[in-house]
Amino acid sequence: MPRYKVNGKLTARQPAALTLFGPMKGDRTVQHTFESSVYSSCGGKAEIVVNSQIRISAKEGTDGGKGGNSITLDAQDHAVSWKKC
Amino acid sequence: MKFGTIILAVLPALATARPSTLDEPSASSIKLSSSSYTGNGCPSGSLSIKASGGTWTSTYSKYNANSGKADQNVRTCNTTLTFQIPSGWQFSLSSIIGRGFAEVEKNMGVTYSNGFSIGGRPQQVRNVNASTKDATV
Repeated sequence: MPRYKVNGKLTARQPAALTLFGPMKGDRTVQHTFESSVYSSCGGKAEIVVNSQIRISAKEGTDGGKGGNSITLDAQDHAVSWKKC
Repeated sequence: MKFGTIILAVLPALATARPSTLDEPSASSIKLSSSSYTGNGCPSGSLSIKASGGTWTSTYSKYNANSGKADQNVRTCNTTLTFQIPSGWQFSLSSIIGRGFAEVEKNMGVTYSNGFSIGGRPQQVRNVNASTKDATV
C-alpha cells in the first residue's frame, strides 16, 4: 500500500500533495521526500516519469475568492537514491 | 523570479565535484539520454531540463494556475527522462523540491502534488513526506 506523510501525518495515497491556504503572498518552497520500494532496472537504460500538478481551489465550505489568486511553479529539483544490484 | 538562478548555477557544480562513493556511482557515469514533456503547465518550448549525475532541474516558464477562469485553475506537467546508468546500480526518486510563487487570498488554497513511476511501475511508493518553508504571509 502506498503511503506518505504530510507534516508528519502518515496517509496512504499517491501522489504526494500539500495544500496551503491563504492568505499568503510570496515565494514558496515545497519538498516531497519519497521512500520507494520501486527501483529502476539494474544498469543500462532507466526511464522515469514525473507527474506534477498545481491547483487552486476554494476552501471547503466557503465561497472562496473572486479572482487574482495564482500560483507559479518556476522550477523543480530532483534527486535520486542509489543501491547496488 | 530570480531566486532559483543561484541554485541552478551551483547544483551542477556540486554534483560534478562529488566523487564516487560506496553509496552511489560517479556522476560522470550517469547520462541523460533523452527527455520529453507534456501537459498544459509545460507547453512546447516552455521547459528546460538540466541534468548532472543523479540530479536534475526542470525549469518552467509558463507553469501557472490562477482562479480567473475555471479551466485555468489546474495545471499539469508530465516529464519523461531516460538515463543511461552504470552496471551494478539502480536508482529511485528520493526527493522533489518545487520552487515558485503564490498569491492567494483567504479561503483559497493551492495544492502542489507530485507522483512518479519507474519503468512503467507507478503507485508503489511506501512513504512520502511533504514539507514547506519560506512562507510569506
